[in-house]
Amino acid sequence: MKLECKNALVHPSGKEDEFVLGPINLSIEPGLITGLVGRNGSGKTTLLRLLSGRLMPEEGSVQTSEGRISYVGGKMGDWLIRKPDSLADAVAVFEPWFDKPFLETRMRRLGLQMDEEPDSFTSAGKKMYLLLFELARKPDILLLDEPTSGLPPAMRHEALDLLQEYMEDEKHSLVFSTHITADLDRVADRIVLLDDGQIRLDEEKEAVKLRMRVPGETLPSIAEIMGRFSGQ
Amino acid sequence: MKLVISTVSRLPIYEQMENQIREKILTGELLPGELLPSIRELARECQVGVITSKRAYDDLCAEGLLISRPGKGVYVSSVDSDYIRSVRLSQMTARMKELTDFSRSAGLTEEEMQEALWECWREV
Repeated sequence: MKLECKNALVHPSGKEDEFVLGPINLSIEPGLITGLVGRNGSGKTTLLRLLSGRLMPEEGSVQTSEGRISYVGGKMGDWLIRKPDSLADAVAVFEPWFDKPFLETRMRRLGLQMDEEPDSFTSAGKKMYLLLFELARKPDILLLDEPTSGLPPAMRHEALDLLQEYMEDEKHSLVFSTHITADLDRVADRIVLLDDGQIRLDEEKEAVKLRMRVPGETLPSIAEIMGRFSGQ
Repeated sequence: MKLVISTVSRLPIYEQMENQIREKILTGELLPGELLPSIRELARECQVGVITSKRAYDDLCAEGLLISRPGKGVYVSSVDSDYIRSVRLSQMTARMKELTDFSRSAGLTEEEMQEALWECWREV
């Protein structure tokens, strides 16, 4: 599935004199994990919302081809009112491809019940539940805002494995934002670095590490690369 | 296939993977004709990116240690160790050629190059 920003620009607050994202030029390639990094307030969430269609660009365009895009992030509100069981049934009416058995098995593995109020899950449990729910909707492109932050190590490992399982289908694309870049040091194929609403870097991960290496030292981590861009 | 990957290394991840797979082949832990995990399976097993695992396989295919059969998978090649050695030798010669060309154009002498080579060799 194609997803491409061309000179896309937006003020997420709706106010001209406040933070602006863009103009953004970005094309999401099938089969790859793109890590979206940048400091707090650099525009990661805004860019993900723009890619997901939740925000419309004021200038430029966000073009997609036929396919499904899922976005996980932001407020959980509505999700936590209904029991997973009945929510799954409701979604399956409109999305017959919804994979309820997948949701059920994977939730059980994490000790989460389909017939319990999600509000009673731990915060890590809620996060995993939302991720599993979106995976069960079988998206072609999965956009995740900070999917691993706040998860205890074992769950974080579980979440990363789920994402790599999802990526075993070469038609799938994954974009995930995080300020904890250690996960991306391993699994990302491509790094997009945002700073003050602009893309400062968009490059294959191994290539940028080699390019920015200091002779005789270990390859720079993504955190170090970020530091160099913001002059820290 | 279990490989040990470090993100705190002088070597890119694909090179770490290449070294370990190469060692498994040369020590006989992986046998000629053996089917290896797909690029995406390998990426998941080692928790690395797909481009990274693909690069590792591509390089080892170019070296003659692995064979990629489109639509079927990646296999350990059945070439003998003499052949592998000769391929490596020619790869090394090609790299040396780059170095000698550079040294000449930079006005460095043969002695300086030899000295640098010995230093690098001993360093590891």
